[in-house]
Amino acid sequence: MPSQISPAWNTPAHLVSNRQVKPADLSTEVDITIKSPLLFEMLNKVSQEKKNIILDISQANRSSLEFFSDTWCKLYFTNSITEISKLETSSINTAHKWHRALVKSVGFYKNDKTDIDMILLWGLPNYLSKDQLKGLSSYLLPQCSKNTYLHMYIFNSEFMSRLPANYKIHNKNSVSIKPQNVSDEIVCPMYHLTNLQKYLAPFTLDHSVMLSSGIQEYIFKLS
Amino acid sequence: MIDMKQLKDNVSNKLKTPEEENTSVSSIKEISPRSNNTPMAIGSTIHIKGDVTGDEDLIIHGHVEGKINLKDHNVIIGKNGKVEANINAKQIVVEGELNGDLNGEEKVVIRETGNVLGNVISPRVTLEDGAMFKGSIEMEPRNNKFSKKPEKTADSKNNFKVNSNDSKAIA
Repeated sequence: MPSQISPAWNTPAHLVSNRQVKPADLSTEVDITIKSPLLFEMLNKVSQEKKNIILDISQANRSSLEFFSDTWCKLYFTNSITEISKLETSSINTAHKWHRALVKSVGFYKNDKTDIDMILLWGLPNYLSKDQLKGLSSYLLPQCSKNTYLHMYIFNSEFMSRLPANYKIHNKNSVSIKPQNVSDEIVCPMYHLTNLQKYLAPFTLDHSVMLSSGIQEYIFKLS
Repeated sequence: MIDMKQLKDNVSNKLKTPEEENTSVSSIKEISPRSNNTPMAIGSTIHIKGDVTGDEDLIIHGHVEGKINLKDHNVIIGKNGKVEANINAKQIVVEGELNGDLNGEEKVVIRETGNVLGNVISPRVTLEDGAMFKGSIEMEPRNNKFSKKPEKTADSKNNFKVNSNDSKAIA
Protein backbone atom coordinates (compact mmCIF):
# COMPACT_ATOMS: atom_id res chain seq x y z
CA MET A 1 0.00 0.00 0.00
CA PRO A 2 1.34 3.43 -0.82
CA SER A 3 0.95 4.75 2.69
CA GLN A 4 3.28 2.08 3.97
CA ILE A 5 6.09 3.08 1.69
CA SER A 6 8.84 5.07 3.31
CA PRO A 7 10.89 7.53 1.34
CA ALA A 8 13.37 5.60 -0.70
CA TRP A 9 16.48 7.03 0.91
CA ASN A 10 15.17 5.89 4.25
CA THR A 11 13.70 2.61 3.18
CA PRO A 12 13.53 -0.30 5.61
CA ALA A 13 15.72 -3.19 4.59
CA HIS A 14 12.80 -5.53 3.99
CA LEU A 15 11.60 -3.32 1.17
CA VAL A 16 14.92 -3.37 -0.62
CA SER A 17 14.99 -5.73 -3.52
CA ASN A 18 18.04 -7.57 -4.79
CA ARG A 19 16.49 -8.79 -8.00
CA GLN A 20 18.34 -8.48 -11.29
CA VAL A 21 17.67 -5.25 -13.08
CA LYS A 22 16.15 -5.37 -16.51
CA PRO A 23 17.47 -3.12 -19.24
CA ALA A 24 14.14 -1.60 -20.04
CA ASP A 25 12.81 -0.75 -16.64
CA LEU A 26 13.25 2.25 -14.41
CA SER A 27 15.79 0.69 -12.16
CA THR A 28 18.48 0.60 -14.80
CA GLU A 29 21.65 2.56 -14.28
CA VAL A 30 21.80 3.90 -17.81
CA ASP A 31 20.00 6.92 -19.18
CA ILE A 32 16.68 6.26 -20.83
CA THR A 33 14.64 8.56 -23.00
CA ILE A 34 10.87 8.69 -22.94
CA LYS A 35 8.27 10.48 -24.95
CA SER A 36 6.21 12.77 -22.80
CA PRO A 37 3.23 14.11 -24.74
CA LEU A 38 1.49 15.79 -21.83
CA LEU A 39 4.59 17.62 -20.72
CA PHE A 40 5.18 19.10 -24.14
CA GLU A 41 1.51 19.85 -24.67
CA MET A 42 1.69 21.79 -21.43
CA LEU A 43 4.96 23.51 -22.30
CA ASN A 44 3.58 24.56 -25.63
CA LYS A 45 0.87 26.42 -23.81
CA VAL A 46 3.50 28.75 -22.40
CA SER A 47 2.23 32.22 -23.05
CA GLN A 48 4.16 34.64 -25.21
CA GLU A 49 2.19 37.49 -23.74
CA LYS A 50 3.62 37.38 -20.26
CA LYS A 51 6.53 36.07 -18.30
CA ASN A 52 5.99 32.46 -17.28
CA ILE A 53 7.10 31.22 -13.89
CA ILE A 54 8.28 27.61 -13.96
CA LEU A 55 9.40 25.60 -10.96
CA ASP A 56 11.62 22.62 -11.79
CA ILE A 57 12.42 20.54 -8.72
CA SER A 58 15.21 18.64 -10.44
CA GLN A 59 18.85 19.54 -10.82
CA ALA A 60 19.53 22.47 -13.13
CA ASN A 61 20.86 21.28 -16.46
CA ARG A 62 21.93 22.69 -19.77
CA SER A 63 19.39 20.99 -22.01
CA SER A 64 16.35 22.08 -20.00
CA LEU A 65 17.72 25.59 -19.86
CA GLU A 66 18.30 25.54 -23.60
CA PHE A 67 14.74 24.38 -24.16
CA PHE A 68 13.31 27.26 -22.15
CA SER A 69 15.68 29.83 -23.58
CA ASP A 70 13.33 30.48 -26.46
CA THR A 71 10.53 31.65 -24.28
CA TRP A 72 9.94 34.45 -21.84
CA CYS A 73 10.19 32.82 -18.48
CA LYS A 74 11.65 32.72 -15.06
CA LEU A 75 12.92 29.27 -14.20
CA TYR A 76 13.36 28.13 -10.63
CA PHE A 77 15.67 25.17 -10.15
CA THR A 78 15.38 23.96 -6.58
CA ASN A 79 17.51 20.82 -6.84
CA SER A 80 14.98 19.34 -4.45
CA ILE A 81 15.79 15.72 -5.17
CA THR A 82 19.26 16.22 -3.78
CA GLU A 83 18.03 18.42 -0.94
CA ILE A 84 15.25 16.09 0.12
CA SER A 85 17.61 13.13 -0.02
CA LYS A 86 19.64 14.82 2.69
CA LEU A 87 16.69 15.30 5.05
CA GLU A 88 16.38 13.11 8.09
CA THR A 89 13.06 11.78 6.94
CA SER A 90 12.56 9.34 9.79
CA SER A 91 11.74 12.23 12.10
CA ILE A 92 9.51 13.99 9.58
CA ASN A 93 6.43 11.90 10.12
CA THR A 94 3.54 14.31 9.61
CA ALA A 95 2.37 16.46 6.73
CA HIS A 96 3.00 19.58 8.81
CA LYS A 97 6.58 18.61 9.64
CA TRP A 98 7.20 17.74 6.01
CA HIS A 99 5.87 21.12 4.92
CA ARG A 100 8.23 22.87 7.33
CA ALA A 101 11.16 20.73 6.21
CA LEU A 102 10.47 21.60 2.58
CA VAL A 103 10.29 25.30 3.34
CA LYS A 104 13.59 25.08 5.17
CA SER A 105 15.44 23.06 2.58
CA VAL A 106 14.04 24.20 -0.75
CA GLY A 107 11.71 27.11 0.01
CA PHE A 108 14.01 29.99 -0.87
CA TYR A 109 11.87 31.03 -3.80
CA LYS A 110 8.92 31.84 -1.57
CA ASN A 111 10.16 35.41 -1.39
CA ASP A 112 8.86 35.85 -4.90
CA LYS A 113 5.19 36.84 -4.72
CA THR A 114 4.24 35.84 -8.25
CA ASP A 115 2.25 32.69 -8.87
CA ILE A 116 3.94 29.75 -10.50
CA ASP A 117 2.54 28.71 -13.87
CA MET A 118 4.07 25.25 -14.09
CA ILE A 119 5.56 22.88 -11.56
CA LEU A 120 7.69 19.99 -12.80
CA LEU A 121 7.78 17.31 -10.12
CA TRP A 122 9.16 14.61 -12.42
CA GLY A 123 9.35 11.28 -10.53
CA LEU A 124 9.61 12.68 -7.01
CA PRO A 125 6.08 11.73 -5.84
CA ASN A 126 6.98 8.04 -6.15
CA TYR A 127 9.48 8.56 -3.35
CA LEU A 128 7.13 10.34 -1.00
CA SER A 129 4.78 8.83 1.57
CA LYS A 130 1.15 9.80 1.99
CA ASP A 131 1.98 12.46 4.57
CA GLN A 132 4.87 13.75 2.53
CA LEU A 133 2.63 14.16 -0.51
CA LYS A 134 0.17 16.10 1.64
CA GLY A 135 3.02 18.23 2.94
CA LEU A 136 4.24 18.83 -0.59
CA SER A 137 0.78 19.93 -1.69
CA SER A 138 0.38 22.37 1.19
CA TYR A 139 3.88 23.68 0.56
CA LEU A 140 3.17 24.37 -3.11
CA LEU A 141 -0.35 25.68 -2.70
CA PRO A 142 0.42 29.29 -1.65
CA GLN A 143 2.50 29.71 -4.81
CA CYS A 144 -0.21 28.45 -7.15
CA SER A 145 -3.15 29.95 -8.98
CA LYS A 146 -6.07 28.40 -10.80
CA ASN A 147 -3.90 28.25 -13.90
CA THR A 148 -0.98 26.41 -12.34
CA TYR A 149 -0.10 23.07 -13.89
CA LEU A 150 1.44 20.33 -11.77
CA HIS A 151 3.26 17.71 -13.83
CA MET A 152 4.57 14.34 -12.60
CA TYR A 153 5.40 10.77 -13.54
CA ILE A 154 4.03 7.87 -11.51
CA PHE A 155 5.70 4.49 -11.93
CA ASN A 156 3.68 1.34 -12.46
CA SER A 157 6.53 -1.11 -12.11
CA GLU A 158 6.83 -3.29 -9.04
CA PHE A 159 10.28 -2.00 -8.17
CA MET A 160 12.18 1.20 -8.69
CA SER A 161 15.66 2.51 -8.02
CA ARG A 162 16.36 3.35 -4.37
CA LEU A 163 17.09 6.98 -5.20
CA PRO A 164 15.10 9.23 -7.51
CA ALA A 165 16.56 9.87 -10.94
CA ASN A 166 17.41 13.21 -12.46
CA TYR A 167 15.32 14.36 -15.39
CA LYS A 168 16.02 16.73 -18.19
CA ILE A 169 14.24 17.85 -21.30
CA HIS A 170 16.02 16.05 -24.11
CA ASN A 171 14.47 17.75 -27.11
CA LYS A 172 11.08 19.09 -28.07
CA ASN A 173 9.19 15.86 -27.45
CA SER A 174 11.28 13.66 -25.20
CA VAL A 175 12.71 13.58 -21.72
CA SER A 176 15.85 11.80 -20.62
CA ILE A 177 16.01 10.07 -17.26
CA LYS A 178 19.37 9.69 -15.60
CA PRO A 179 19.25 7.30 -12.67
CA GLN A 180 21.50 7.96 -9.72
CA ASN A 181 24.37 5.59 -9.30
CA VAL A 182 22.72 2.99 -7.09
CA SER A 183 22.09 -0.64 -7.90
CA ASP A 184 19.60 -1.61 -5.21
CA GLU A 185 15.88 -1.27 -5.64
CA ILE A 186 12.87 -0.68 -3.48
CA VAL A 187 9.19 -1.47 -3.78
CA CYS A 188 7.39 1.08 -5.89
CA PRO A 189 4.22 2.52 -4.27
CA MET A 190 2.38 2.47 -7.61
CA TYR A 191 0.09 5.29 -6.54
CA HIS A 192 -3.37 5.10 -8.01
CA LEU A 193 -5.08 8.24 -9.20
CA THR A 194 -7.66 8.10 -6.41
CA ASN A 195 -4.92 8.22 -3.80
CA LEU A 196 -2.97 10.89 -5.60
CA GLN A 197 -6.00 13.17 -5.75
CA LYS A 198 -6.63 12.53 -2.08
CA TYR A 199 -3.07 13.26 -0.99
CA LEU A 200 -2.46 16.16 -3.35
CA ALA A 201 -5.82 17.86 -2.76
CA PRO A 202 -6.89 20.49 -3.71
CA PHE A 203 -4.99 19.62 -6.90
CA THR A 204 -7.10 17.44 -9.17
CA LEU A 205 -6.48 15.58 -12.39
CA ASP A 206 -6.38 17.52 -15.62
CA HIS A 207 -4.76 15.04 -18.02
CA SER A 208 -3.31 11.57 -17.77
CA VAL A 209 -1.67 9.19 -20.19
CA MET A 210 0.12 5.86 -19.87
CA LEU A 211 3.49 5.83 -21.58
CA SER A 212 4.96 2.73 -23.15
CA SER A 213 7.76 2.76 -20.59
CA GLY A 214 5.23 1.86 -17.90
CA ILE A 215 5.12 5.37 -16.54
CA GLN A 216 1.82 7.14 -15.98
CA GLU A 217 2.12 10.78 -16.89
CA TYR A 218 -0.11 13.19 -14.99
CA ILE A 219 -1.03 16.81 -15.08
CA PHE A 220 -2.93 18.21 -12.11
CA LYS A 221 -4.52 21.59 -11.65
CA LEU A 222 -6.26 23.32 -8.80
CA SER A 223 -9.95 22.48 -8.68
CA MET B 1 33.93 51.29 -1.17
CA ILE B 2 37.02 49.72 -2.66
CA ASP B 3 38.80 51.33 -5.57
CA MET B 4 40.09 48.60 -7.83
CA LYS B 5 43.00 50.57 -9.25
CA GLN B 6 44.41 51.16 -5.82
CA LEU B 7 43.73 47.60 -4.90
CA LYS B 8 45.48 46.41 -8.01
CA ASP B 9 48.67 48.20 -7.01
CA ASN B 10 48.53 46.50 -3.67
CA VAL B 11 47.80 42.99 -4.81
CA SER B 12 49.35 42.78 -8.25
CA ASN B 13 52.25 40.81 -6.89
CA LYS B 14 50.05 38.41 -4.99
CA LEU B 15 50.86 34.81 -5.56
CA LYS B 16 48.70 32.93 -8.00
CA THR B 17 49.11 29.32 -8.86
CA PRO B 18 49.83 28.47 -12.49
CA GLU B 19 46.46 26.74 -12.60
CA GLU B 20 44.67 29.88 -11.48
CA GLU B 21 46.58 31.93 -13.97
CA ASN B 22 45.69 29.63 -16.85
CA THR B 23 42.04 29.39 -15.91
CA SER B 24 41.69 33.10 -15.60
CA VAL B 25 43.36 34.00 -18.84
CA SER B 26 41.54 31.39 -20.87
CA SER B 27 38.20 32.38 -19.39
CA ILE B 28 38.66 36.04 -19.99
CA LYS B 29 39.73 35.38 -23.54
CA GLU B 30 36.61 33.38 -24.14
CA ILE B 31 34.28 36.06 -22.97
CA SER B 32 36.30 39.04 -24.12
CA PRO B 33 38.54 38.11 -27.02
CA ARG B 34 39.43 41.71 -27.89
CA SER B 35 40.56 42.70 -24.45
CA ASN B 36 44.20 43.68 -24.48
CA ASN B 37 44.44 44.62 -20.84
CA THR B 38 45.35 42.05 -18.26
CA PRO B 39 42.37 41.72 -15.98
CA MET B 40 42.59 42.74 -12.39
CA ALA B 41 43.00 39.73 -10.10
CA ILE B 42 42.08 39.21 -6.50
CA GLY B 43 44.49 36.59 -5.24
CA SER B 44 43.58 33.47 -3.38
CA THR B 45 44.61 34.80 0.03
CA ILE B 46 42.76 38.09 -0.29
CA HIS B 47 39.48 38.56 1.59
CA ILE B 48 37.47 41.66 0.72
CA LYS B 49 34.45 42.94 2.59
CA GLY B 50 32.64 45.82 0.93
CA ASP B 51 31.65 47.16 -2.46
CA VAL B 52 33.87 46.60 -5.46
CA THR B 53 33.61 49.01 -8.40
CA GLY B 54 35.92 49.93 -11.27
CA ASP B 55 36.60 50.23 -14.97
CA GLU B 56 38.33 46.98 -15.83
CA ASP B 57 37.78 43.25 -15.90
CA LEU B 58 38.12 41.35 -12.68
CA ILE B 59 39.14 37.80 -11.78
CA ILE B 60 38.47 36.58 -8.28
CA HIS B 61 40.53 33.78 -6.78
CA GLY B 62 40.00 34.92 -3.23
CA HIS B 63 36.99 35.69 -1.07
CA VAL B 64 34.70 38.68 -1.65
CA GLU B 65 31.74 39.69 0.49
CA GLY B 66 29.56 42.67 -0.38
CA LYS B 67 28.67 43.96 -3.84
CA ILE B 68 30.49 43.89 -7.16
CA ASN B 69 29.51 46.47 -9.70
CA LEU B 70 31.47 46.45 -12.95
CA LYS B 71 28.69 47.33 -15.31
CA ASP B 72 30.80 47.67 -18.47
CA HIS B 73 33.29 44.94 -17.70
CA ASN B 74 33.63 41.23 -17.12
CA VAL B 75 33.86 39.32 -13.88
CA ILE B 76 35.25 35.84 -13.47
CA ILE B 77 35.08 33.83 -10.29
CA GLY B 78 37.96 31.38 -10.52
CA LYS B 79 37.76 27.75 -9.43
CA ASN B 80 38.98 28.56 -5.96
CA GLY B 81 37.16 31.85 -5.69
CA LYS B 82 34.39 32.34 -3.16
CA VAL B 83 31.97 35.21 -3.49
CA GLU B 84 29.10 36.23 -1.26
CA ALA B 85 27.86 39.21 -3.20
CA ASN B 86 25.47 40.40 -5.83
CA ILE B 87 27.30 40.95 -9.10
CA ASN B 88 26.42 43.43 -11.79
CA ALA B 89 28.67 43.18 -14.86
CA LYS B 90 28.69 42.89 -18.64
CA GLN B 91 29.66 39.23 -18.71
CA ILE B 92 30.03 36.95 -15.72
CA VAL B 93 31.74 33.56 -15.60
CA VAL B 94 31.46 31.40 -12.48
CA GLU B 95 33.97 28.60 -12.01
CA GLY B 96 33.99 28.74 -8.23
CA GLU B 97 31.44 29.35 -5.49
CA LEU B 98 28.89 32.12 -5.48
CA ASN B 99 26.14 33.02 -3.05
CA GLY B 100 24.36 36.01 -4.52
CA ASP B 101 22.44 37.33 -7.48
CA LEU B 102 23.94 37.74 -10.93
CA ASN B 103 22.97 40.48 -13.33
CA GLY B 104 24.82 39.96 -16.60
CA GLU B 105 24.17 42.71 -19.12
CA GLU B 106 25.28 40.41 -21.96
CA LYS B 107 25.90 36.92 -20.67
CA VAL B 108 26.26 34.66 -17.65
CA VAL B 109 28.22 31.40 -17.80
CA ILE B 110 28.24 28.84 -15.00
CA ARG B 111 31.03 26.34 -15.61
CA GLU B 112 30.92 22.69 -14.59
CA THR B 113 32.98 23.48 -11.49
CA GLY B 114 30.67 26.34 -10.55
CA ASN B 115 28.39 26.26 -7.52
CA VAL B 116 25.78 29.01 -7.48
CA LEU B 117 23.05 29.83 -5.00
CA GLY B 118 21.19 32.84 -6.28
CA ASN B 119 19.16 34.38 -9.05
CA VAL B 120 20.36 35.10 -12.55
CA ILE B 121 19.10 37.78 -14.88
CA SER B 122 20.71 37.96 -18.29
CA PRO B 123 19.72 37.72 -21.96
CA ARG B 124 22.06 34.73 -22.36
CA VAL B 125 22.70 32.11 -19.73
CA THR B 126 24.94 29.07 -20.17
CA LEU B 127 24.93 26.28 -17.63
CA GLU B 128 27.50 23.56 -18.16
CA ASP B 129 26.62 20.00 -17.21
CA GLY B 130 27.88 19.24 -13.76
CA ALA B 131 27.42 22.79 -12.51
CA MET B 132 25.54 23.12 -9.25
CA PHE B 133 22.81 25.71 -9.37
CA LYS B 134 19.97 26.54 -7.05
CA GLY B 135 17.89 29.60 -7.73
CA SER B 136 16.11 31.26 -10.59
CA ILE B 137 17.11 32.11 -14.12
CA GLU B 138 15.27 34.84 -15.95
CA MET B 139 15.63 35.07 -19.69
CA GLU B 140 14.18 36.94 -22.60
CA PRO B 141 12.93 34.86 -25.53
CA ARG B 142 15.32 34.49 -28.45
CA ASN B 143 12.61 33.56 -30.94
CA ASN B 144 9.04 32.43 -31.08
CA LYS B 145 9.50 28.70 -30.99
CA PHE B 146 6.43 28.35 -28.86
CA SER B 147 4.18 30.08 -31.33
CA LYS B 148 4.67 27.12 -33.64
CA LYS B 149 2.40 24.16 -33.30
CA PRO B 150 4.17 21.15 -31.85
CA GLU B 151 4.80 18.25 -34.13
CA LYS B 152 2.07 15.90 -33.09
CA THR B 153 2.90 12.27 -33.20
CA ALA B 154 0.19 9.74 -33.86
CA ASP B 155 0.45 8.79 -30.22
CA SER B 156 -0.24 12.11 -28.70
CA LYS B 157 -2.82 13.02 -31.30
CA ASN B 158 -4.93 9.96 -30.89
CA ASN B 159 -4.45 9.01 -27.32
CA PHE B 160 -4.52 12.23 -25.43
CA LYS B 161 -6.45 11.26 -22.38
CA VAL B 162 -8.43 13.74 -20.41
CA ASN B 163 -10.17 11.24 -18.30
CA SER B 164 -9.22 9.99 -14.96
CA ASN B 165 -8.91 6.42 -13.85
CA ASP B 166 -8.32 4.49 -16.97
CA SER B 167 -5.55 5.51 -19.27
CA LYS B 168 -4.47 4.47 -22.66
CA ALA B 169 -1.07 3.22 -23.63
CA ILE B 170 0.86 5.03 -26.26
CA ALA B 171 3.40 3.43 -28.52
